[in-house]
This record gives sequence, structure tokens and C-alpha cells, in this order.
Amino acid sequence: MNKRLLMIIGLLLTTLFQIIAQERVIVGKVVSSEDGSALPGVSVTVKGTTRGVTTDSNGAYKISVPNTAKLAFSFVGYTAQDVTVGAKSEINMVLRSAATDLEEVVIVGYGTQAKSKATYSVSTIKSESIRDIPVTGLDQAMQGRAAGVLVTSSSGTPGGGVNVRLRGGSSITASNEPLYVVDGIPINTGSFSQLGFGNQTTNALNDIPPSDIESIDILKDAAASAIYGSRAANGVVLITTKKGKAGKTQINFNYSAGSSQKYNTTLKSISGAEETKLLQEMVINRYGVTDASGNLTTPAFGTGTASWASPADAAAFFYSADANAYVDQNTSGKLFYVNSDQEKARGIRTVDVFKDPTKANSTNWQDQIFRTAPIKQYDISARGGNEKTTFFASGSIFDQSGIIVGSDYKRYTGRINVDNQVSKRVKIGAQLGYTYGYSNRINNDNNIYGVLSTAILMASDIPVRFSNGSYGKDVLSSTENPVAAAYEPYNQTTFGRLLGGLSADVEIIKGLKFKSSWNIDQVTFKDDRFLPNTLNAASGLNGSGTATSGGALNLSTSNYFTFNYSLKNIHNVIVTAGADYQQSAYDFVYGSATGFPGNSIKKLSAGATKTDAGSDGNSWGLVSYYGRLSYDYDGKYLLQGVFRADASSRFGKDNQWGYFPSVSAAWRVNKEKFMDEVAVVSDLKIRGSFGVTGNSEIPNFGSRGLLGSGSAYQLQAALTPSQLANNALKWETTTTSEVGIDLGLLKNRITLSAGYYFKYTKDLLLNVNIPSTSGFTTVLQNFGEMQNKGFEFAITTENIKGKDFNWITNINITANENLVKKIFGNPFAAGFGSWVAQDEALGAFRGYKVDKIFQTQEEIDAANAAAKAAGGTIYQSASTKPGDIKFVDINGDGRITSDDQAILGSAQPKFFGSISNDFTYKGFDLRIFFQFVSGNKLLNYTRNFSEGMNSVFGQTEAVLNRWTPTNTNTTVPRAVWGDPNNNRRVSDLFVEDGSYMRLKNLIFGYTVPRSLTNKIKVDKIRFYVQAQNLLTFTNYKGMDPEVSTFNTSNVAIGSGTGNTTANAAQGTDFLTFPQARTYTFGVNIGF
Amino acid sequence: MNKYKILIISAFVLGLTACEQVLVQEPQSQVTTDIKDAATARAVMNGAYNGLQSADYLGTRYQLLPDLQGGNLRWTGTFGDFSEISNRSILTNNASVTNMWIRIYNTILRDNIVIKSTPNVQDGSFSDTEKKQIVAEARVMRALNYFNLVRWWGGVPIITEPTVSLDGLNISKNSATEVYKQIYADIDAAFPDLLTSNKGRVTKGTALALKCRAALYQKDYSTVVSVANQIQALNQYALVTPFQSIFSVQNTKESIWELNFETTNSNSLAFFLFSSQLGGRNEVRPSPTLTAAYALTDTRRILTTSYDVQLKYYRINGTDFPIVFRYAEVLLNKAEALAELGNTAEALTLVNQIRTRAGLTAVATTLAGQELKDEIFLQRRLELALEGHYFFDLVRTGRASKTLTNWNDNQALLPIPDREIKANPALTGQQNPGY
Repeated sequence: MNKRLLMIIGLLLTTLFQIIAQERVIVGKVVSSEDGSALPGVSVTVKGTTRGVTTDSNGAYKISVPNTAKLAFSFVGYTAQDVTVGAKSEINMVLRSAATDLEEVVIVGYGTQAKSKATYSVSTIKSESIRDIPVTGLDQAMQGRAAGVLVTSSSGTPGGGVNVRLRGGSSITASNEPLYVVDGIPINTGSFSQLGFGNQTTNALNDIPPSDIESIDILKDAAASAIYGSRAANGVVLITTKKGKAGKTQINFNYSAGSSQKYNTTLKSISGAEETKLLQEMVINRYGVTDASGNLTTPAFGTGTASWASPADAAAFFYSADANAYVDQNTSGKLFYVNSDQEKARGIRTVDVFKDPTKANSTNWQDQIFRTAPIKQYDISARGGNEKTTFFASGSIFDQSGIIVGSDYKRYTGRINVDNQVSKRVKIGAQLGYTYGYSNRINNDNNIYGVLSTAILMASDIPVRFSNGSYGKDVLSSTENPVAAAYEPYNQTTFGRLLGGLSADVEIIKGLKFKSSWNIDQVTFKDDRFLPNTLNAASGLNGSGTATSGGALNLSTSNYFTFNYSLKNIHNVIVTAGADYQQSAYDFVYGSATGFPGNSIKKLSAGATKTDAGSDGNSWGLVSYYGRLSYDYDGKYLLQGVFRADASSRFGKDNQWGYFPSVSAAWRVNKEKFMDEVAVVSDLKIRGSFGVTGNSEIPNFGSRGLLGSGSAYQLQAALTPSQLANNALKWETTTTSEVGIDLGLLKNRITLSAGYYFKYTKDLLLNVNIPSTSGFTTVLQNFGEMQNKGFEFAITTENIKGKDFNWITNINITANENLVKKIFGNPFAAGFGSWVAQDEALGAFRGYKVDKIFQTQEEIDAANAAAKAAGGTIYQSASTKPGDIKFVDINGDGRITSDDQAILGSAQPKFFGSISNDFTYKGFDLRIFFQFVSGNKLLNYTRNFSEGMNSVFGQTEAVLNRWTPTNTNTTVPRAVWGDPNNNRRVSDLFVEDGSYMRLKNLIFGYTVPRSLTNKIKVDKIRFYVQAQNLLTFTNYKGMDPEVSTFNTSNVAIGSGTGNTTANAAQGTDFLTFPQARTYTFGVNIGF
Repeated sequence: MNKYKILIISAFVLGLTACEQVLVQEPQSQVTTDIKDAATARAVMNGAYNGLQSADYLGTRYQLLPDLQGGNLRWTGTFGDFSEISNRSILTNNASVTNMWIRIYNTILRDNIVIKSTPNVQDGSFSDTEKKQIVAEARVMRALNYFNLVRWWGGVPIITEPTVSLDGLNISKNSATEVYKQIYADIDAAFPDLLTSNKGRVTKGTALALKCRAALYQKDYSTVVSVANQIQALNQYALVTPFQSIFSVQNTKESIWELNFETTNSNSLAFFLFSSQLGGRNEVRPSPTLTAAYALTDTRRILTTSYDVQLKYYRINGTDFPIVFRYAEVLLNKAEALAELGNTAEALTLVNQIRTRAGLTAVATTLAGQELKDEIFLQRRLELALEGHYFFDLVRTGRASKTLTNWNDNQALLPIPDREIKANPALTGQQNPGY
């Protein structure tokens, strides 16, 4: 009451003063925008004078001002604001928290930047968008989350390799993976395994649990990534781990558990009976001759006839002379080796079985090796501190079994991040993450000892075990028994990683800061393999064991100054300058032994013969100086220059230093006066950039003249020239130009970002032929060129924003076109059907084109006659018969030669992206996340075997529709032993559309109301169910469209240029472990 | 803290780290080409020997290809390039030919590194005598390498300096005469510094045997005789009996230089010759014409019979020691030179030494003129089959056109590999005739 009275008096007095002294008193209250609470201690000054007051404990103030005055309100942690007094007498002010303003901050490498002031595109993935999903590593978590980022799991193997391409690959021989930087530490990535598992690799990125990640910022364009210079050509992924927060300690516990299954039923194998019939048909078609009436005559076996339709007739015909006749696959036309008593006792492919295929054994190999596999995840974290010290501590367990027997991955992690404000000016921090885990691995892909490989390649008429208990094997094939391949080998990988750093931040003078950090990234890796004598691979060796142990130690330090300067809040300058040093050393030892005393002891000490031993290592070092200058005029016109100089131990003497500049500019159009009238536009920024980055993933000592070891004469060690010095050897250089627009509409309820980029890479490392009179045949030289260009588009809309119901949609789409522009010498093949040629995409497939299936001998005769007329002899093959494929004579010379191959498409998608919808209604939340790629081709090389119909390999149901004289309307050729027409050659028959759209994650959660949880002293309880890969829409005929059998080789090992196959033969599926469908149930509890 | 102090400390931290030590990284299983100590120099020398051991060179193809070209061997395997060689219709991209060329020049590089760097190695434990001996061994090996180049390809580029950079690699052909000059220069310079006895390494005997063979190819018969006399004067060598023991026993008195192989560093000779039942790949077999050329009583006939009997190369694990030079060749060289010089009597004595050692009777003392030359040639074929001689002997004695079917003179030389012509502009237009 008193106050109000006083105020009224005050007001009256104010009026009085106004009349008398042209001055009056203004009163008001200052509150926070966050929660409307009163803000005490806010400074309220009359602009241009020293006159000022501060608000009282209720946020109220009173000040006497001249008529024309402006009042300035300022408070620590809040954005300062000015108000023209005018005729007003009461001015209530709502101050906005500075933190709210800075919310949109992006990590840009050596600092952060307000997103509004960024002159380039940075994609940020926040922890919320990758929570609750059952993925091993952050690279998988990134899939579909950001424009321009194409993530492809190379297989469904737990802990397996993942390919990440930011705006397409830029290299042919070197790595195309981005640089990963965790809390400022450029880390080791790739596979450290020393042993081969088909094409299965491991992935060191999995050492970082996604639950520890606060945000992932992806620098795609050179304007941003040039600060990482010679390692930035493939983009940079900046990972920030969770840090402490002052306040009450929050404890979060997450648990999820569920299971994974094979999600589809393609590549279904045929039954043993069908396999038997098919084998018979192959032999008949190869060695028998049909007469005009469709009957079969076989000169190789004397005279006689048999009908197509009856296996019994054919068997009777083949074996009429001697029921015990053995049959082998040799040119005699006999097929099945059943002459020994042992073979007969097994009952496989005997004459009886051929006479009545229903008697054949039938094994569903895939059922034997696929399983429903459990997945479990626990993580717990504590986050808290006070104004001086904050901390984040976490621990996690990730335990996943693969959907194929024999594969699993288990990881334990711990992390502690602590920050301490030592004094007003000095802050120190420490981060430490430790990971330990092990994984049981299985062979797959191109491997006759693989589990899925053999489950597809082993014919279904072979039993799991023979009657004597030994594993069923096919005498005509070296393929391992799939069950043996899954259960018998011991392949354990043990891995560990220590990733940590110490840092100090010092504010030298206001605006000038210095940060120094000292980091370690230590990876340890151990492979233990034991193959018991029950396996083909070790049966002759009495067991075979191999052990390897290796690791990488990566030490780095980063030291930089940041200077912030603002002239009248109009000219704003931020300067960053610093120096980094990094050194990485890799080493390993290995040994192997054979001749084990049985299969129970797996360690090498037990092996009678030590067959191999060795150790080796290598290293690289990098010295860098860098700087960044950002300038903006009133937040309206933005300009930035970045420069980095890198010297690498890898580069040639003449090119030790590489320089990587970039410039970028942006215009925030919405800040212009004329935009004030366009109320619908809340944000509009037009930006452009140009920059140079490098790819220094070249061999560690590729530039040196070297003598190699390992050879000998008279048992004395020899050194031999292994490499010619190329002092000019340098990084691959990429220049990127980009223009883009960022648009916000309706108070940013709709935000949209679109960009066009053009990326040109030159000086690609290629092995160039030199005169061998020099003693060397090739030298690694900077020779090739490649181009990527494309559009990126991302839109976020808050469709419904209500009190209880919210609906947000995120869509991103990227279109990238990749072309190889220059290679050395002739185009060359890679992988199974990939082709590297100028003006074609890296990842192009090349092969023959199917014209049709020859239906009659007359058609074949006509084609051969035409070939003769054109100067050849035959059209395709002398053994072509009706039912064989007629390939297209592309060059029109009348016959099929290797020149009749054409580009059949590319593994690179024309566009890719994702659509995510988030709904919340009261305590319920629902996320529907679709991810898609489109326009890419896949080479389904599995079908080359599983539909080959040429040998004893297991066949899939597609062959049931094979061509026969009575089933002519088909695209599947006839079955014929040995495939003399080579129907299996790489052709458009196996190059398939790889487009897919996938309901990657469906998450439905419910948060228990706080009013209930508070009763049990719990802040938050949320339950959720999640489904991964719930739906997949694709025309692809393989098990999974998201596969790539070839992987980037180990960059840590320094193989440098060993990535040609992985880069060029992407999108090849060959007996690859498919992705699983995973259901999980989880709970988040916060205290 | 005083803000200036902080500034100074920050600058110090920055300066402290500004050592570019991290740029100094060294490979761990390789060394740079500058040789600094005796052990490295000796290892590089071993590397020069190791270069000869490749299956593309003295580790297999050196022995097989001339006999395949000349018809002592027939092709029974799967290698298309062997088929071309046996038909003497060799394409310019023939893999064996290309790889042999590459391998020989690679070995020459190894020799050149030894010759150039060994004298400069400063190491107290490295005597001048040893340095000279190492250089001399490398020079003889370089001479052998050039000799193999010139007899297979004719004139070739002569390179006597180690390649250290990409500059100046395009070198055109030298004439065959220049190549022979280089061979003699190396042998003569090396001779005084060589050891006298060591069957596994280049010795004085090796240098002379090479010179003797080169002179024979040059038809410099008086040199052949004088060098052969020098070899005999070394008193190191003699024919051994039985014939087979030359191959079944390693480092016999007859051998002048044998390349040593072990299980960990093996050759493919037996593997190429053996049938698949015996673990070989049955790529080539002694031809029926070679079999027919031996008398049934000839103890050397074993090398043409089926695989259940020992061949010259029979250790399937690849540990046969292929003989580069042996005394019998020196005697046959000398006999041929003497016959050409008209010294019939002495020539007969020598050829009869070879015959009787093989279990044959001595030929009549009346044998003379062309008949004697033919007999010496036949014994040379029978004695040295599968040791890398036959095709060259046919060519240099002018017998190729009479003996070989579908012969044309262009077949005397191999094509310069296509990849070489493409990679080296200086060789444009220098392909051997007929290719």
C-alpha cells in the first residue's frame, strides 16, 4: 500500500518536474524473459550520460531523465537493450537471457560461432536426436541426420565398418572418410585388425559411446573446414562430449534391451530336392543334346533318350550301366562323386537320390546360422558442479549379439570431464574417456570360410552333419560347412582406447583469450584366432593359431589465441590464431603357429610349429599454424577468412608445407530496414564461400627413397630398394565453392537452408608408370582429378506448436554428382564389376547388357550367321543353346567381345536424405524417422553365385523360374553345368536399383508426470519402445540394400593408397552380413 | 596474476611447442637410401644377390625360357605367356618378358647402389679390402645383368648410376657393342678385388667365366681360349662324377657360382617342372626331341625322363641351387673356340672329357671341321640343357634358322616391353624389329 502511495506521489512529482525542468521521472520493473521473474541489480542508465540507477530486489527502478533521452538496460548474462523514452512514464522491460540468444551456437574448430553469424553451412546433430537408438557408434547415429552426409554401414556386423561420405568422395586411392575431432582432438579411426575376415573390418570410432556425445557438428564446406587444412578435404566431424553444468547434480540412468532379427526373406534357398533336380538338369544341359522333339540324347553315354521332365528317367539314363558308377565334374560329363563306400554311406547325391530327388536331404542353412540376437545397453551419468567446478561423469555397457551366429560386440566405457575456474581469468579442464571391449568375429563376404557366405554357397542337399557326426561337406566344393564356420573358429578381438586431454583457458586481457590443450589418443588392439582341426582351413595343420597385438599412440597439442573486439557494437571482429602439433605412431607384433595338441588349447605356445612372427610400425607427424578472422558489420554483413599452414612428415621435401586458405561472406538480408515490412520473413541470409583443403592420407613415407627389409641371401639379411623418392609428393588438393541461403519464416517456425556446392579435387595420388630401366616401375605421383557438385536442402517446420501438442518435421535432401576427371593411363577395373574411367562416377559399374534369352536354335544360328557375315566366327560362344542369354552387341561388330561392355550405372545415389517427424502430446513423444537413398545401383554379386546354376553352389528361389523348353517366358537363363555361355558375366542382370527408403527408427515414449515421480524423489521417468529398420521399401533383391563389401583400409596403419577398391567398388554386395531389424524397450530415469 | 605475465607465459607455451621435431619421422622396417655403416652396406650387397633370385630371373625363367624358345622344353601348362615364348610369337606385353626386363633393371639398380655408395661408407669396421670386394662383386653382377639384357634384347639403355629422383629417367637405347664394352669394363675393373673361392658368391672364377661366355657370344675366340686358360690356372675347378652329383650335391668342385636358396627364400624351378601329382604346376616338360638327342647310355638323360626320376631341379620346396657358371661350360666354350680357331686336337680332347664323364665313348680323333663343331654343339646342348643356354647357342652359331620351325631372324631378339616404350618417350621408334 505504502509503495503504491509512494508511486503515485512519485508520478505526480514527475509530472511536476517535467513542467518545471523539462525532466521527468520514469519508473518500471525489469523481468527476465525466461520465467518472468524480477531481475534485481539491472543497470539502467541514461544513454550518453553518467546518470544511472540499478533495480532493487523486486526489479523496480526509478530514474529521472531528460525529455529526449534513451534508456539503456544492461545486466550480466542478459542482452542489453535500449528504449527511447518519448512520452512514456512507465517503462517495464523484459530482458532476454544472453544464453537464449547464444543457443544457436555451432562448433567450428578452435572455437564456436553464433549460427546466425556463420558464413557457411554447418550441420549440427544434437544428442536428443540420436538418443534411444540402438547403434554402436556415432557414425551410424549420423545416418540421415544431416544434409550432405551419406552414411552407409558396410555390413550388419556388430561393431563393423561404416562408410561416411561428406559431399561425395574426393579421392581414388586415399581415404574418403572425414576427419573426426573429439573435443578438439583429431582421433584415430579405421580398422586396427591385422587379420582378414573376408572383407569384414572393425571400426575404431565405436570406441566413443554415442551416449557421451552432446553434439556432432559437421563441417562440409571448405570455408569452415579449411581450418583443418591438409586433413579436411573429406570434411570434418567435430564431436563434443557432454560437459558439467553448475547446479544440483543430475543423475541419469538409461537402460534399453531388445533383440534383432533378419528383417527380410529374400535370397531364400531352394530345397534339397530342388537342388538335386537342378544339378541333374545342369549336367543334362551341358552334356546331353536335345533332339528336335525335345528328347535328350547323350553321345557321351552312348545312345538313349530321356525326357526333360523326369529326373527318374534322366537318372536311369545316366546310371543305367552301373548303379555304383561314380560321377565327377570332369569333362566326361559325369558329375557326382559317389563311388567310395564312405560317400555312399553319407547318402548324398547317390543314384537313388537322383532317381527320386524327394529322397534328398534338405538343409536350410540360413536357418542354421541366423538367430534372434539380444541387444542390451546401460548407461549412467552424473552431471553437476558449482560456479567454480563442474563435472560430467558417465559409464556405459553396450552388448550386442549379431544376427549371425558367432558374432558379437561388447563395450564398456567410462568418462569424466571436469572444468574448474581457477581464478577470474583462468579456467582449466580435463577430459578422460576410457573404452574397453571385445568382439567375436566371423568371416564373411568374399570368403569360403565365411558364415553367411557358406550358408548361401553350400547347397541345401548337404546335411549339417553326416551320419558319423562329422560336419557335412560337399566334396565338389571347397566351401566350409556353415555351421562349422559359425561355431568352430575362435576369433576374438580385444580393443581399448584412452582418449583424454588437459586444457587451460586464460583471459589475458578483456577480449583476448589463450587456450592450450594437451591430448592423448591411445588405441590398443589385439586379435586372437584359433582354427581347430575340424575346419577345412586347419584340418591339415592340426589346428592353426594367430595372435596379433598392436596399437596407435596419437599425441597432440593445440594452442591458440582468440581475440574478440567490438567497435560500438557495429564493427565486430573475432580473430583466432594458433599452432598445433600432432604425432601418431602405430606398431604391432604378430605370431602364428600350427600343430596344436587338440582343440582345447588356443594359445600359440601350444603349437608345435611356430610358423611366423614379426613386428613393425610406422608414424607420422604434423605441424600446423592457423588463423581465422571473422568480421561483421552490425551483424548484417559477415566476412570470414581462414588460413592454415600444415607441414607433414608424409609430404615430400619439396612440398613440406601446404597452405589452405578460405574466404566466405554472408549478407543477413533480414537485418536490412526494407525487410522490416516483410514480417513473414524472420531470418534471411545469403552466403557464399571459396576455400582450399587437402587430403593428407597418403602413405607415411611415400615421398622417401627407401630400402626395404625382409629379404635375404645365404640367410643373411638383405636390403633392397623399395621406393623411389618423390620429393614433390604432396597432399591431394580440393577447392570448394559454395553459395547458399538460410531462410526463416513465421518467427522461425519454418527454417530452411539450401546450398549449391562445387568441389574439385586435383593432385590425386596415383601410381604412375615410369621407365623401369630406373629399377622402379611406378612412382606415387599427384596426378588425378575428380569433381563433386550438388545441392543440399534442409527444412524444419514446427507444424503445430501448442500447449499440449507439438509436431515438428525435419527434412533434408542432398543431390551429389561425382565424376572422375583425370586418371593415369587406361580406365581400370576394381572389385567385381566396378570401373574407374574419366567422366564417369567413382563407383560406376561396367558390364554387358542382356538383350534377351535365346528361345530357339534358329535364333542362335541367325546370330552366328550374322557374326560370320560381319567377319567373325560366332556371335557369343560355340556352346550357346536355347535358354542362354543373348547379350547386346554394343559396338555393333556382330559378336560379343570384351568391348561390348558399357557403364551400367553408379553406386553413388542421385539423391539421399531423411524425413523425421516428432510429435509430443503431454507426456507422450513419438518420432518417425525415415531415411532414404535414391538413384544408386548395387552390384548384387551374390546372385552371380546363388543364381549361377553352373556348379554345386547353393541356389536361391529365383532359379525356380529358370528357362526350360516349357518355361520360356522368363529372364532367368537355363541351368547348365560350367555355364559355357557365361550367363554369369557381370551384366545388367546383377546390377540392380539400390534405392531404398527405410523407417530407420520409430520411437514411442511416455514420460511419467512429474507430480507422480516427485513422490518417489525422481525427476523424470520415461519409458519407450523403439524399432530400427522396421520397414524397408526397395526393389533390391539382396538381403539388404545398405551394404558395401569393400571397406576403406586402415588409415592408421598407414596403408595410405590402399583404398582404390573401397573407393571405386562401393555398392557391391557379395555375401555380406545384412542389417538387422532391432526392437528395443528402454527406460530413462533422472534424479 | 598480472595480465602481462599471462601473456608472456602463453607466448612461451606457444613457443615451446614450436619445435618441428614431430616432422622427423622415420620408417621402422625400411631405411633411407643413404648407407652409413658396414652392416647396411653388406645387406644392400645381399640385396643385389637377392635380386637375381626372382622367379622372373635366375630363380626360374632364366633357365626355362631359352630352352622353351629353343625347343628343349615344351609348354604343357596354363601360362599364355609361356605359350607365346614356346611358339616364338611373342607379344610386346608378354608377362614373362616384361617382368624379366623389369627385374634385370631392378637388379642393376641394386648393383648401382652398391657400386656408388659402398666406397663412401665411413665405418671403422669396414675395411677398404672388403669395400672393394663388395663393389667388385656388384660390378660382375651388373656385367651379368647387362649380358642377359644384350643377349635377349640386343642394344638396351645403359644405366650405371643409382636412380635417386624422377629426373632424367628417359634414356634411349645404347648399341649392343656399347653394352658389351660396359660388360668387359665391369669385369676387368672388378677382377683384382674379388675373392678366389666362395661358390655362393661372385669370385674371380665367376668374373672370368662370364667374360669367357661373353667373348664366345662376341665370336672373340682367342679371348675365349685365354680366359678359359686363366680359369684353369686358378686350380679351383674340375669335372665331377657322376654327372648327377653336380645337382644333387651342392657346391661341388665343378660349380663356379651357384645361387643359394633356402625354404624361406626359394625358387620355382622344380615347381614349374613337376607334375601336379608331385606338387608342381607342370608348366613345362623336356621335349621329345631333347629326349631323342640323348643316347640311352648317356647319364645326362635323366633330366628328360619322367617325373619319377631326378631332374636337374627336383627339390619341390624350391631349394635347388641353380648353377650360373660351371666348369663344363668353360671347357665347352674353350672347345668351341679352339675348333673355330682350327685347333682340332685340343678341341677334341675337351669334348671327349665331357663325353666320357657322361658315360659316352670318346669320339674318333678324325672328327674335324663342321662335324667337330656340330659335335661340340650337340654336347653343349646335352650338357647344359635347362641351364639357360640353348636358344642363344642356336642363334649365335647360326643354327636357329636350320633347327627351329617357323624361324625368322626377328625372333632372335625379344620385344622391348610395351609398358617400357609407353613409359619412356626416349624409346619411341627403338622397338626391336618385327614387333
